[in-house]
Amino acid sequence: MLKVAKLTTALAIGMLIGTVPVTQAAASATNDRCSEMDYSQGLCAKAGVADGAVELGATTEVPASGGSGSSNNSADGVSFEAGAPVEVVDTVGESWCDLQRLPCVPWTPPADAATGPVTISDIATFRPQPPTAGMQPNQWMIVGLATNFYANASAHVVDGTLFGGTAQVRFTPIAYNWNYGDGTTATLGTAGTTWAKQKIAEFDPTPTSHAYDTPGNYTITLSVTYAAEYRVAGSSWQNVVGTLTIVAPPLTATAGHATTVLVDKDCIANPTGIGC
Amino acid sequence: MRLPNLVRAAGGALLLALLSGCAPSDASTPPEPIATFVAPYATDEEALAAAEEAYAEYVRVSAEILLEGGADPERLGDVVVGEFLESSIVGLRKFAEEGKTQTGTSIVGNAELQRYSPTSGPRELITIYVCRNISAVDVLDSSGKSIVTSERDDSSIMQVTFDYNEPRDALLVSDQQLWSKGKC
Repeated sequence: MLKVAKLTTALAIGMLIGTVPVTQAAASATNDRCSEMDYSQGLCAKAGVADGAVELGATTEVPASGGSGSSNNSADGVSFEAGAPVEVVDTVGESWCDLQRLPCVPWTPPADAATGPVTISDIATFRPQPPTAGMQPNQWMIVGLATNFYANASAHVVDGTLFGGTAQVRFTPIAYNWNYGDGTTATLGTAGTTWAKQKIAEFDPTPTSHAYDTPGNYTITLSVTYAAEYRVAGSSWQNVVGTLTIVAPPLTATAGHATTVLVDKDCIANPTGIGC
Repeated sequence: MRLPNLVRAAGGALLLALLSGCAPSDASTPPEPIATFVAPYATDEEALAAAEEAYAEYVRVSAEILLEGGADPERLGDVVVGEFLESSIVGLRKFAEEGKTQTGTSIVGNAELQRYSPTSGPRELITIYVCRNISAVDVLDSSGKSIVTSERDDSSIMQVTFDYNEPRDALLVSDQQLWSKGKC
């Protein structure tokens, strides 16, 4: 009882003098402490405000699957996975890249591209909406607690022309491939969403959450695999052979241990204060 | 008749109040402090000034050891205490074994008091934020090659915590953490 009463008093005093507790993500190497020796060498991890930033535009390399030659175009962004790869490199792949105005990976068409069913290569002029990745908390994680990652990607229809007539292509996300940057990856069937939309508390595990074991800076990459269907002149939706994988702009974030500090003003009153 | 009733009612109310613990009582007497600790600084300003002085000494002694390639790291015991002292000495011994040396001088910039807790005992008495600039500092391996990582910022804010050593009437560094990028 006495302890509770004392705690209440302490809280009341804290509120009276306007102290505001702020939780920080504190990144650390093996030890939070920073000796002069480590500091001089640049070996200390920042315990306070992380200065990571979200990078816009994909920078993760996607290995070409079955393609050869045009390694000068081996940048990032979009990769194809067509039905049955053969040795021949088709130039349609590159034109697809040009049309999409996206960094692109050379690809190999299915063997029956010329005579068989409609493939991904046939719908090259249809540009899908690129996915984006989101995370909570934004740009930082607490070691051992769930970080909620989610993809912003949904089924959508794109208008265009196919075989000389108007047509529509419907892209449907079927897999969300996460590379968490800590050596683990996951392929999920669900995009996930925010904690608030799931009506659960922050740091609760979600079907798409991931927990980091070690403090550090991480780059998290999402790629979304789409299936496609097409229809021409009011016909029913027809399947398109192959899938399309698009890489979202990677997220960079810092994992650390949580530290609570007391500050005398909030971030509005003191925007340059610690943790603001 | 009325007055005694009122008195009785008032007495009852007082008794109830006492029973329910609403009235002040001897139970709220603060517990005896574990050890008698007299705060060495009267004000935050005094505490900050003492911490700045102690930190300057810490930086001076550390630099002295590092400039001599990690020789006699036990000297750090004059300015550092606790686990931080132990881990620092272990690190400096390794520094010496590997034949590393440090060159250049660092700058200690402005400091700001994070907290001074005069009533909580000598441990972790004061924490400050202090700006450091180590742009002129280099660390060389035994072949004379710089081993400073590319991540190092020229200027940073450090969070430094001090214990108070009563017999020596001195502040000793018990923790230092790189807090954020700084400018000084």
